[in-house]
Amino acid sequence: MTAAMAVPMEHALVVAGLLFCVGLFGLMLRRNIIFMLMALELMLNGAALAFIAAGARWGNADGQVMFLFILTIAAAEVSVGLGLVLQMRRQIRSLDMNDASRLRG
Amino acid sequence: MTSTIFHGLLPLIVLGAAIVIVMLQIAWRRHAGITQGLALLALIMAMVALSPSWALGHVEATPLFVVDGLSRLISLVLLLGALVTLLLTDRWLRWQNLESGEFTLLLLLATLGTLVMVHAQHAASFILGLELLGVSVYTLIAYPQRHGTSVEGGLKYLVLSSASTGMLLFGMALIYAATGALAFVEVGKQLADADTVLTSAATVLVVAGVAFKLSLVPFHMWTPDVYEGAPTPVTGFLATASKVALIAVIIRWFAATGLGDGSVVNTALSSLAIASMVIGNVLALYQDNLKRLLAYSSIAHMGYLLIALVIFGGSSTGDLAVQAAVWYLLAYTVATLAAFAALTLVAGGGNEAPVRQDLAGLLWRRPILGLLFMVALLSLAGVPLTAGFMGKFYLVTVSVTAQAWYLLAALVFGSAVSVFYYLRLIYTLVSKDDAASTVQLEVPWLSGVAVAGLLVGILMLGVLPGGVAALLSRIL
Amino acid sequence: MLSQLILVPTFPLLSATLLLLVGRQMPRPLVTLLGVGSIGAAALTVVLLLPQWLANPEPVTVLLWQWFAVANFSIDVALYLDQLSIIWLCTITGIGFLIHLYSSEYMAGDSDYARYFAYLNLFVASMLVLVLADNLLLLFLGWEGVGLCSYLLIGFWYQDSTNGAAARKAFVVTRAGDAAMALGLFLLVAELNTLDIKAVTGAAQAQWSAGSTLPTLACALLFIGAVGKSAQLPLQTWLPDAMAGPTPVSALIHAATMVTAGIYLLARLNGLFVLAPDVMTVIAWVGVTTALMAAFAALTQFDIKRILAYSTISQLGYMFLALGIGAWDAGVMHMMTHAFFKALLFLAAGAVIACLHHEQDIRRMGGLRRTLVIPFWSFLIGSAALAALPFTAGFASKDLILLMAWASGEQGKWLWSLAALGALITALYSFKLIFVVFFGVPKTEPNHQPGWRMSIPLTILAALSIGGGLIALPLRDVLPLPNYEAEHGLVAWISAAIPIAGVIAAFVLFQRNGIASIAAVRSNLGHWLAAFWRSGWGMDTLYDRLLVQPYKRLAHWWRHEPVDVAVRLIMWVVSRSHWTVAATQNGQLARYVTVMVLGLILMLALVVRTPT
Repeated sequence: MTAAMAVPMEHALVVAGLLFCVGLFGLMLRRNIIFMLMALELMLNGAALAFIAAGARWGNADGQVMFLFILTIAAAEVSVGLGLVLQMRRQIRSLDMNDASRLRG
Repeated sequence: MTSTIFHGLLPLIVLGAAIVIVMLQIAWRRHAGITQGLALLALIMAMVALSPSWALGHVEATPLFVVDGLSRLISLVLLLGALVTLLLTDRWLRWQNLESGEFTLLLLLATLGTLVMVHAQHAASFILGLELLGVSVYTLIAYPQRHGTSVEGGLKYLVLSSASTGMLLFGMALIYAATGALAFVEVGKQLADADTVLTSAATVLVVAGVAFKLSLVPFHMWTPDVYEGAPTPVTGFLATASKVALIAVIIRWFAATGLGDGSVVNTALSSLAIASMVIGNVLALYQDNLKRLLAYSSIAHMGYLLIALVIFGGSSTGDLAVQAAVWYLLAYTVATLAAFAALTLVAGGGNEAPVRQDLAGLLWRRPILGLLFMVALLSLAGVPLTAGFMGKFYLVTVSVTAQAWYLLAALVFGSAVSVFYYLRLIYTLVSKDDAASTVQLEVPWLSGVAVAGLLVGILMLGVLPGGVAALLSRIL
Repeated sequence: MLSQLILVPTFPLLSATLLLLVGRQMPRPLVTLLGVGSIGAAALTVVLLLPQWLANPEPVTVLLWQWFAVANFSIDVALYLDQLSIIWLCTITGIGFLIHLYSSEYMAGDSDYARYFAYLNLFVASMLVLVLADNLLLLFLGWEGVGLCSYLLIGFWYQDSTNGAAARKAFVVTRAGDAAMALGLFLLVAELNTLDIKAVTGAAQAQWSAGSTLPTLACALLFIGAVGKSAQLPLQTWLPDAMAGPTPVSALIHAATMVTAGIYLLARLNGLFVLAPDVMTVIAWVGVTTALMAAFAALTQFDIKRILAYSTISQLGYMFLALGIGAWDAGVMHMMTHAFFKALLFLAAGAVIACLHHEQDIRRMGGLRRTLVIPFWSFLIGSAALAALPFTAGFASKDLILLMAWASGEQGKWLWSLAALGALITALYSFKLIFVVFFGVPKTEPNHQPGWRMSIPLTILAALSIGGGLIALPLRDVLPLPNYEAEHGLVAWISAAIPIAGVIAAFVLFQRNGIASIAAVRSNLGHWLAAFWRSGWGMDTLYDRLLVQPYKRLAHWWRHEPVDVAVRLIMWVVSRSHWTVAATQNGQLARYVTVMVLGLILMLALVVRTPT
């Protein structure tokens, strides 16, 4: 890593933030559980990008390591999530989260 | 790795090894008894493994982990909680006709996750533990796949938990961007000179992520649904272990960074605390479904606990505040575990959505269970001679010393309101209703051991708090 | 020593717990064994402790555990044994044991046998905690415990609602006293920052000067608590009604032990009370007034137990008189002798009542001295002690009080006069009772004789009532000595003669029915006066008119008024908010996420300030 960065950290952070927000909005607006899982992935990747940007700014490998962590975590979550989605399909016979709202009050 | 590090991290190593062994055992031949026995043994050995490290003092075991008095005490509490949960699921799984192998394995994994969190002094290990706990819990919640509600609960928890982890990670990334450090102590050193916009935004995001897990208002909405949908022993574990571990991390964070000092962040945390105390209790008022009621009450209790943490972060009565926080944590854990233990044993066979009427006359039909539930409720309400009273007493002392009047007012209001719904339950427990429901009431002996232990715990902490208080002041 | 002391309250406590939980399923003999045996064991422990302790009579503190210590305020659970507490210990366990033994026969026909012993044991345990407590909080715990047990036992036969009403009355009236006592305790904690009795006394003497407001206020509040518990004016109205409970209960609780709790409190805190001489004067006057009023009331009662109840109130008044004038050891001695002869009288009365198929009206009794021999002699000895005839225990203590009163200062002569008048009336009513019940024409025949379990306690108590005055109480080092000596000479002879005069008067008036020939008594005024005294000087009606009716009217008037509306408003607001907020939990995941995000944005807006 050279001392000077080509892209200022702030810009990268903004992009990461935008990515994060897109994910957040997706989570709020989509009803299909698969899309919600996708939105989650976007959020996590946004955070990961932020780590990379920060790592590049400070010039050490911590950011990259965290990125790998996040990737692994995201993968684990999604795999469990997809398993649950399969069960949901079987029990509730739909992938619409609004149908899965028997627990309330 | 040196021998001190090895001894310091021994519980984690033991638990990890046990997990691998259990996995192999399940793969080789399925046998519920052996799996549970191995798990029990593993937890007990992990607790025993804590003893060689008591004398070691403060150990920096790799830049990621630290072993000190706090971590040992909380590890003990967590392992005991996991032990109680395991003892409770003993026959419960067979009643539900569920495979017990994976359940036990997941429980051990979740416990390992909590232990990792407690020992963490770096963002990476914190996230690692958090996610290990989280992913295991998703599956535990959705374990009884026949019930649509469990899957629904599991999915809701997964989505919301991942979202909050995302926020937490983003916040950590911003902190990293501002300070260039990820270890708690390093961050603490750099925080003062860092860019304030970044750090405040980062703190808010981190707080949001943590507040979700602690089910503080307004991040609480998953709590009743997930508590209701999950199998009752899992709810007990979720309500206690995950919160306990997270509070330990927060204590460490505050100790390292003194982040609560910043007055605006303090205001934000105080608002969360007050909102949780008020709304948590208000929501619990007319709740008939017992698991939902306990969920709302745990929201309120986390609000009470936050008072101590807020004061710890930001004032001179730091020592007393930390002791108050840990005391309250202990009291809350024992009482909540007791309540859920009683619910598990009452629900027993098929009733996973117990309502208040199911408890009618429990004290007469099944005296030990009824007594356990009653003592747990009294402790949650903060009646003297129970652990909960000592916890509340500490909280009031701390808030008066720190002159945190709004927090104190919310505490008093919340406690007053909560007495209503707790007493309503106690009244139901005591009332003689011959048309009581047909719940299965057999109590297996292992669960009986757990029940007895919890009962003794609540009363001991309430009547003889001296020993524990002395221990706390030594450690903290 | 340590382990033995904790056993004393533990035996009855364990027995009470067992009997409460599984008493109903136990066979009678086992219940008797537990109920009576636990007090017996406690008494035995005290007997074994006594020589050990007397050999080296230093105060002993046994620390059980420290309940909590937060900041610089700590509460210990510890037992304190010194000369004062050992006297009470012996009295409570000794007389308690005799009364429990008696109860096993008296209550033998009752279906709630186990419940009775459970409550009675619980009572003894609480009373022991009260006298052994090392700090005021623990003492207060025992105080409340005995109040609770008193309520439970007065209303023992709850199926009859009048018993329940009497129990409630007892509880509410003593509660008024307890509230004042709690305020007194708060004052002590706030000013002296401790509740440990020795520390309180020491700190008070160091910080407060005699006669200043703070000790006066604290002592006044504590005294009001004692007034409630020991049934002095104006909180004495509950004791006569408390006779609704079983007679052994009246003997134990309302004669020998619980009502002496007030005396104990004052004696224990004597170091504090000497700092409030004004309160001490009030104590003396309240005591002597109560003694006199109750004596007159006892004169006109028809119910044998009510006579004894008013007599108890009167004798307690003498004890308070003694404490008020600074004759601390005289008061404590009278407590002890009173316990002997009052318990004797109540148990004998119980024997009479039981053997006369539960007849309690003395107008329907008569000539029982030939048919109920043991109760007759018990009553005779007990009344002699009550009247303070020479050579009885009562003489030793009451006479001491009278003589100390005369010598105690400028008001001493007045105090003596009133006390002496009270002594005269005491002799009058106690022997009126003897003559009416045991002499004259028999009106009701007894249907059986008291058994050994009732007779033996009666005999032992009778012996104590005579010889109890010879017990030398080792109180020198614990209670302060008054700065005057008891009067001898003419006053002493007059004081000794008064009871004898009273007995003679009683003989003339009641045995020979001389009273019927006194015109004054037969007149309207006479009847009105008798009725007035019988109703306890009309205090019940007074309280009803003054407190109860206005309170009820106020409550009715305020039914729709602001305070109620305010409370209802709070309830309504909280309820509505519940339903409103609960409606947000609609089960939809997207909604949950949205709320989370909104919360996040709110926090960000609150926290993040862009540097300008």
